[in-house]
Amino acid sequence: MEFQAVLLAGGRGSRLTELTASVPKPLLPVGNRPMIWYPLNLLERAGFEEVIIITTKEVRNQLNTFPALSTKIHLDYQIIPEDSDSSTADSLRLVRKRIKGTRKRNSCWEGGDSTHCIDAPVPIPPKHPKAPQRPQKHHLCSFLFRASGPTKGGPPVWHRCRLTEVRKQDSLATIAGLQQRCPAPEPGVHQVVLGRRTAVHKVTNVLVVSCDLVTDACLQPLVDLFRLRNAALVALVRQVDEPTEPIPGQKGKRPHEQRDFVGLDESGTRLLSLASEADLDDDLSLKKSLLCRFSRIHIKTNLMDAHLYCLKKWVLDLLAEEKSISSVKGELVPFLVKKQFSAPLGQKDLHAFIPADGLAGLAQERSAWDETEAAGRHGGAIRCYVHQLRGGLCLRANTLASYVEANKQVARVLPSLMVAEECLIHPSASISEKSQVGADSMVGRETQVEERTSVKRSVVGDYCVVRLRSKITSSIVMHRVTIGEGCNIQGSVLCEGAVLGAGVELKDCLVGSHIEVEPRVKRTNEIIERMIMI
Amino acid sequence: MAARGKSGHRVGDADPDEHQALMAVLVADSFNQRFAPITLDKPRALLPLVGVPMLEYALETVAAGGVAKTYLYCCAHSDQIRDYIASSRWAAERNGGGMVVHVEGGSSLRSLGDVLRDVDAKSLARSDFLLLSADGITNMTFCGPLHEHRQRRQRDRNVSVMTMVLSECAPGHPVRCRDDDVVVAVETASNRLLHYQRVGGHGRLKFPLHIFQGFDEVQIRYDLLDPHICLCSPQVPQLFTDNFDYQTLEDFVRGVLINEEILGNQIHVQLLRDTYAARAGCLQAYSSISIDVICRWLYPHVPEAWLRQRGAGLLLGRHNVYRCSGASLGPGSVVQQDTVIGDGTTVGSGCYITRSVIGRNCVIGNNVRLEGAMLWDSVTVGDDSTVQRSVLCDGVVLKPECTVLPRCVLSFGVILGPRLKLAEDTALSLHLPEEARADEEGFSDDETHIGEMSPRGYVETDVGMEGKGYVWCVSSHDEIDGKIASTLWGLSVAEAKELGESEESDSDSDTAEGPATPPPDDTKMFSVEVMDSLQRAVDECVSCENLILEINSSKYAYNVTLRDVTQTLTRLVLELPTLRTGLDAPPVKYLASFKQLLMTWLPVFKNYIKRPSDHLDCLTAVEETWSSLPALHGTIGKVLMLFYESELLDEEAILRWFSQPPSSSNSTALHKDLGLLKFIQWLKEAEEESSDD
Repeated sequence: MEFQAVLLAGGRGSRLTELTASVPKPLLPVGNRPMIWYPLNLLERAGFEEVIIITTKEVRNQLNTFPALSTKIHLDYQIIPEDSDSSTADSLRLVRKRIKGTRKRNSCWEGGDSTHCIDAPVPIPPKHPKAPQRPQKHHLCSFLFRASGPTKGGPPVWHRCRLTEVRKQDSLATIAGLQQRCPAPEPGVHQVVLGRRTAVHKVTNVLVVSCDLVTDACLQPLVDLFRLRNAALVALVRQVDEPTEPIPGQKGKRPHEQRDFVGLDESGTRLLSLASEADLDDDLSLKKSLLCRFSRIHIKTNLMDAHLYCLKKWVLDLLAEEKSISSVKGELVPFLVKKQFSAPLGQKDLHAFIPADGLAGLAQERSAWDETEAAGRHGGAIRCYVHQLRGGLCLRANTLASYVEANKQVARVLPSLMVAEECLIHPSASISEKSQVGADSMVGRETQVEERTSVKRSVVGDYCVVRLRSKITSSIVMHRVTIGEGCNIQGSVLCEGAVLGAGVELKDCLVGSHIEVEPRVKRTNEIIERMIMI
Repeated sequence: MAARGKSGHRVGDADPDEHQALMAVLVADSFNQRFAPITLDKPRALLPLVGVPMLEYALETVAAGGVAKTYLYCCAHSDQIRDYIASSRWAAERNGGGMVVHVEGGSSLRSLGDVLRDVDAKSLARSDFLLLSADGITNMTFCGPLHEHRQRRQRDRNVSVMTMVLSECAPGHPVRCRDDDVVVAVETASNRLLHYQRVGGHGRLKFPLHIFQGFDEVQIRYDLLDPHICLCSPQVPQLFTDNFDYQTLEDFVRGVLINEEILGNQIHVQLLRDTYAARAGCLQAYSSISIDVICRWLYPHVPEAWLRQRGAGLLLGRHNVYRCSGASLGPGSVVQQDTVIGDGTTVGSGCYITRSVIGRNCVIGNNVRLEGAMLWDSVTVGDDSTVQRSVLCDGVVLKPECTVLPRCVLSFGVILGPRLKLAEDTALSLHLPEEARADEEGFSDDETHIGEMSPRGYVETDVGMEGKGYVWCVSSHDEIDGKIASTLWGLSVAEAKELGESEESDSDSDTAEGPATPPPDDTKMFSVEVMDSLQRAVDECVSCENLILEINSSKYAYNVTLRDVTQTLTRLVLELPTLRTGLDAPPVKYLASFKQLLMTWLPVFKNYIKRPSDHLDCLTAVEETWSSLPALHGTIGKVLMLFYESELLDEEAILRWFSQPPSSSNSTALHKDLGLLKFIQWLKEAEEESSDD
């Protein structure tokens, strides 16, 4: 792929201070997995083989030793300096030099219809014993295989027909010709030329994703949009669902969340204007010239930016030049959106960063189509789009409310994300037969759940102990928590290593890590960060 | 008429209860002067559009929409409209049980607000009614929108007071005239109107944030045209009565939207996609709608319907050429496309006619070119003349070899030529422009005061040897006439495009350097005030302390920054000598005068120029003044020398200012000034010397 994936995991979790005091944000458990597993999983599902993770030394060290991070993707770390308070844009500046110009990828290709490397892999024929071990130099194609077509549902059987040497400069037409010259196959036999080659891709695009994105989305439509429109930026957005449940430890009304005013065109993909509520005074102002080009603008206030962006690589070059930009979401994206509709201004303008596309220029030159006319809908050198996710789970676990929400919903989607043999209740957990663990709950490894307990809509971490007659409802229990006899935990978050005495009743509370709560304590809507005595 | 019968049938199919005595209020006045000078003689409603008064289209539409009773409100020229109705087929005695038309009003009504207050006073509106403008041209049917309007009112217990009909029309479309250029915000789900704004000349459009509150998606639409067709509830006239300051529909809409939280009234919109609705708000729109009628976009309002009604035979040629059988076309004349030629008209030989309307009993000479010309009745065009995209009213005579360039208006009875070329955007009338201006105090345009003004001789260069008529506007150097010229035709498409583009680049430069605030008026006022103080100080030898006091008090009065004070002061002192000696005084005299002023007011300057930033401000002001003040060219070095010698500016500041990259072409030119270079050179050397010591 021409994409380089970059995972931003250097945030301090400033909106999650209650939880990040002991565990760095990327490692906070969501569904008994570190949060960072979800974006990695997202990338892996999209076919990425490597990713650059921008994070702190601490997180890297812990991640290297982390047992549950079952991902095949190759992790490449970029450490940010500990002392500096580095912004998201700074992180991208750091990573800019590391993005290599090209990338090698082994792939198979099939002669005849596909000219390009394939993201969906073609079945590689088993190595024929008589085939030479390595193709000779300059040989693009080394084998000509014939497959007897899929017989009775089984996989195709591959026979080697003839060793043909195809030189590198041979076009696919030549290969197809070679194919035709082969002895005519029997009817029903499919003939394929297959070769192995190392595809060299120029890295022209960057996929930036934040570590707190918990989603089961598929990236393909987003990337399709990016490629189809030759966009400078595509952002993933999703409609926000109004959460209704109370946030642990927070009294009164939930804080007013800052909304974004997102202006989209009729098709709902082109991003025409973007402003955060905090940056606006009383008015939303739009340029008249914009309205002349896009006379119908849909202003949406219910979209959440998932902090997942496909960017052209030149945007990073721009970022290196524009030192004043500090945040990707707050400054870079609005900047690009605004610049879509401005004419190039002199040398210092960002249009200078856009690499010239020789082919497009030639097409423009030879075409009778007027650039200014075409500029209406999909024109302009810079184009920003959004991909709206409908349905599915997509949350940013960057506040306590959304963190709780993510934990609650994740049990629903985890089965589709995990490897098949894993399940919500870890096989090593010992669960008493007389206890009730709901299908919407998760229990971690080697956790003991004793008799007559009930666990509903909750996540219980690894190495926990839940004693007799306890009830856990809509709660998050992190690792190594001990819950005493007859406790009643509702809508609460128990951080790592918390110990609850017998008969504790908590409702909508947050218990800090390694806090011991005395028996028979009753609390509602509190943050418990110190030892509680009766 | 065929159309009427058809629609009437459709109405009959719908629920009979819904259509009990549907009523329409048709306003036959636009309450503006955009058709002046034509409307001095005839109200806009009676101006012919493809040979038929515009009013006729509106009446036909409401009649076809199942309206039982129409109140026709006429204001200016009400007698003409009354006479017209009395003699038309809408008159009660000729109507034969069809729609009843009551003519109401008089010249005492001066706005749409007055009309609706009159409707309320006479309690004419007992149920939902239609509100239309007589210059609105549409072929829409009202059943669907009315049904939705009534359902909405039933569902929400009369919260929705009005449904506005808006038709889709891309920006820059010729039917849109600048006055109709509105931008609206509509909630997608319910079609509720949240914001309504006239665009005007604003480069940026602002939408208050509260309109987005509580809605997931709001559409901002600039592709809508307001044809002034509304479905009103009986509350609307009452609201006009309650708020006696509402003059226009726009006032009302804005008022309802602003008071939405208090009164709980809402306005909804009905978007038209398949049907045609437009308003002949300016001549640009008028001529575009004419062509649309010819091109049959307004079916059933098509030319043959009207022409047959008069009993005239009709020849319909290909490419929408309609020729009455009584019209004659000379040999070799070509009628290209989209043209109507009225009865009794004769066209000479060798003519070329395209996209034009020629009324009845016109006489077109030989070798005439008509491109987009709107000729009303009894117009005479002499041989070898050309008319492009202009309106020629009844009885206009073009003598031979005249050329009328686009966007001209020749009002009733004007005679032009011979051998005259009429520039673009010219309006001619037999009335003096002063008549209209005298009338302007009253809002309504259309009443005339013919004969009150003493007639003036016709100017030969304007209308030709045998011409008759006064020029209303040639170009925009006269403010009032310029306004008429630009609004009469509206902006042409090309102009609008240019405007849009220049705007784009302008606002881009804004965004590049942050929003550039135009210099507030206060600074200007402050500058005037300080200038007064300075001049008085020179004349009356006011002491420096008092001068400082005066400047300070002005500073507080206009709330300007210290920086403005420094810059203004510097600029004024640089300008003052030229005011006293004259702009082209020799440099020596200028310098002497300047030196004297500087020395006198040294304490004043010292008071304001203290910090290093003040030095730079002062220098910036010098730089800015330099470009506008020719006296400074060549003397700038000496002037700065004086500043330097009087220890107002130190060398560090000057050198730093000079080393800054030039910000504009002016400052680049300044940096090449020989005197300045010499001075800078001298400064540098002096500095080196001192550092050597």
